[in-house]
Amino acid sequence: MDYKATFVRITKPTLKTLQYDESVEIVQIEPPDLVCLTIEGTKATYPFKEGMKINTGELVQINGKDAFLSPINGILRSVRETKGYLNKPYLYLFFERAKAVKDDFTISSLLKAGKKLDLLKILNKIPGIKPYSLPQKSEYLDSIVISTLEQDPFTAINDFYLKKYLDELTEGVKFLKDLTKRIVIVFGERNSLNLGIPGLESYSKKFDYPYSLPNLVVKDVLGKVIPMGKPFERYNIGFLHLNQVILLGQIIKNASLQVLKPVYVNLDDKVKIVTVPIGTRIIDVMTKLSIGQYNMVIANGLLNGQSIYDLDTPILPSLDSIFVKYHLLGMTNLETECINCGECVRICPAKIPVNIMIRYLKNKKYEDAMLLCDLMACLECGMCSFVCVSRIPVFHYIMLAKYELSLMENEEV
Amino acid sequence: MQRSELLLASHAPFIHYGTSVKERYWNIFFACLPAVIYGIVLFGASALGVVCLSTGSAMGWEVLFKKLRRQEPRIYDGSSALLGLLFAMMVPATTPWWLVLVGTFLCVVVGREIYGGLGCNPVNPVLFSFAIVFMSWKNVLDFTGALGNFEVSFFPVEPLNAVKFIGASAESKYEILELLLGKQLGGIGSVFNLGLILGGIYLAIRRFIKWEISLMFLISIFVTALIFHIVNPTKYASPIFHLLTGYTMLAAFFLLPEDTTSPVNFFPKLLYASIAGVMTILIRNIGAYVEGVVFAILLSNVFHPLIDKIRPKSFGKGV
Repeated sequence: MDYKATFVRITKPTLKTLQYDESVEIVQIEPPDLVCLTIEGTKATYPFKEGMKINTGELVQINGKDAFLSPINGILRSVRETKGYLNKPYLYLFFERAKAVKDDFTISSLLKAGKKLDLLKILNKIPGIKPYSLPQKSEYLDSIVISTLEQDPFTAINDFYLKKYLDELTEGVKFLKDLTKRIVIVFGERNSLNLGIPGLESYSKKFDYPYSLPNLVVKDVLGKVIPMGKPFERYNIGFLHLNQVILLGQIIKNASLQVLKPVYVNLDDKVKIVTVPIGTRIIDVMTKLSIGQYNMVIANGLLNGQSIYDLDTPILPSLDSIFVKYHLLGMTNLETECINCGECVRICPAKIPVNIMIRYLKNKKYEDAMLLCDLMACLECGMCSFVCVSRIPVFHYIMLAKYELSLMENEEV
Repeated sequence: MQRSELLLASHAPFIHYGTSVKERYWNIFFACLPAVIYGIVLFGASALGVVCLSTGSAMGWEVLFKKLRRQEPRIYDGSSALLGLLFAMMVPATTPWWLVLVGTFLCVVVGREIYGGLGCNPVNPVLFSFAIVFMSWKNVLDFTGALGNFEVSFFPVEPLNAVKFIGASAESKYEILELLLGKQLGGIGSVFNLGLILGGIYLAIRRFIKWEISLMFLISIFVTALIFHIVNPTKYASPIFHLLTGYTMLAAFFLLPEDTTSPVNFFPKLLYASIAGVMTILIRNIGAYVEGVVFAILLSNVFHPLIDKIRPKSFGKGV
C-alpha cells in the first residue's frame, strides 16, 4: 500500500483501506500440542497449580474468583509472569492440549435456555477477547452498530470475512437482534451486502482511515456524539467490530468454543490468511509458514497495532493480523523538538490541539494536558505520529499519559 | 520456555508519512534561491560574498553553540542554513563582513539556540536579529551605499524611502512591471518579487508553508493600503506599490509563515496574518520607520500563542 507523501500535498492524507484479494493463499493450521493463553494479572492474584485440567467452555475459578472461560482442552504445564503493553502484568499459561473433546455444557445449555445476555457475559471472560457491549441499566441496548470497516488500514481481514463467513455473520446478527431496539450494519463503499435479515438496517459510505474509527462511525450512523473518554455502553449503544460478530456466529453455529480463527499474515508485503485454533502460539504459525529471518512482529496493523516481543504470545480472539518484517520500521533517531508545523492538528479527527498538548506531555504534565488540551478526546488513531514532521512519537506519549492518568485515578479511589 | 531470539519492539505507528524537518527546510532554502541568484546578478560579487558568509556563519554558529552545550549539531537539517540565507536576503550587498557575523550570531544563537534550538524560538530569529542590527547600525545598513560601485538603469532610490519622504508622487518614477521583475533597490534577496512569488507558490503547493497566512497577509496589506490611498492619494502610495516594494513578498512567503512562530488553526492564521499586514502599513504610512514589516511581524509573533487558543471544539467535549 502506498502511503508515502506525494509531491503535491494540498489535501489531507487519508489512508484508503486495502481490499481482500481472492488469490490469497489460505492455510489451515492443525491444533498444536502446546497451546497458550494469556490473562491480565500476576501469580499472586491467580495462584495456578501445574497439572490442572481444564475443558473447553469451563469457567476456570481460582480461589473463588473467575479467572477465565477456557476456549481449549488441556493440562496446565507451566505458568510464566511477564509485563505487557504499558507495563501491565500478564500471565502466560501453557497447556498441553488434551486429545479428548468434551461437550461445551455451558455454551449449549445457555443457548438452549435462550439466555442471550448471560451468554455474552460469560463470553467476555474468554482471555484476550474484545468485550461485547452489554446493556448496563435495562435489558435492551438502544442500538447496536456493527462495523465491517477495517480497524487498521493495512489489513484486509474484514473483506475476507464478508466473502467467506456470511453464514456466521447472519447467525451472529440474528442473535444480537433480540438484544436491541435498532441494529445497524456499516459497510465501506465497496463491499455493501444485503443479508436479508428483517429489521437490520444497513449503512454504506466511503470511510477512509481515520474516519472509520468507532466514535466517528457512530456519529455518522446514529448522529450521536459520545462524550470524550466515555464508553458506548454508558449511553446504551453497542458497538461491535465484524470479527466479534463472526466469532459469536461461529460459537452459536458450533455450540462450542472450539472455533478456527482466521488471521491475516503479512510477511514483508506477501499476504497469507491462516485459520488457527484459538490459543495457538505465534511461533507455531510462523514455523508452519516457514518464516525464517525476521526482527519485528506486529499484531493488529501497522498504524495502531502493537509490536510483539514474545513469540509465545498466543492467537486470541482480538488478534486479527500479524505483520512480520525483516527490517527495522517506525521511528528513527531523527526526532527533533516540535516545530509547530500544524500537520497533526490538521489531521486529528478529534480536533485536539496536538501541538500544544505534546509540550505538556513531554514535560509529564498529564493533568494539564487533560484539562487544557482535551487529551481524553483522543480516538487513538495514530495519525498524529504518522504525519509528524519532527518525527515525535506523539501517539506513544498520548497512550502513556492516558495510562498514567488512569493510575492516578485509581490511587485517588 | 525462554527463547533466545530478540525481537525489536516499538510503539505504533510502525510507518511514517515520509516527511521530515530536513526535507522541509532544504526545500524552503531552494525556494529562496531564484530571488537570491537574481540579487547576486544585480548587485554583483559583493552580494555573493554576503550570502555565502551569512549562510556559512549561521551553520558555524550552530555547530559551535551545540558543541558548547555538548549536544549533537543538526546542521544537516538545513534550518540554520535557511536562517543565514534569509538574513542575507534582507541586508544590502554592501553589508560589511563583521555585521554579517554579528547578525547571524544574534539570529542563530541569541534568537534560537539559547531557547533550546529548533522549534523553541519565541519570535522569528531572522527578524529578531535584523531588528537589532537595523537599530544599532542604521548608517551601515544603507541600501543606496552600493551605488558607488555600479550603475543602474532604474530610479536609484529605495522605493519605500522615496514614497515616505517625497510623497505618493514618487510612485510615478517606478513601473509596476519593473518592480515585479526586481528593478529596484533593496536587500539582496528581497527585490526580485516574481522569484519570491514563484518560490512561495511552490512551497504552498507542497505545504512547506502555511499558505493561508501568506494569502491573508497580502490581502490585508492591500486593503489597508487601499484605505490610506483613498483617504489621501497624494500622501500615501497605492496598494500595488506596497505589495511590490520593501520586504512584503519575502515576509509573506518566508518570514511570516515561519513554523514555530505562527498559529496552526485556521481562524488564528488569518487573524495573525491580518495583524501583521495592518501593522505593516500603519508603520509604513504613519510610523517613524520606512519599512514596517520587521516590527509588524515581531509584534504578531508575540501575539501568536494567545491567538492560537481560538480553536475548534474537541470531539465529544461538552456534549
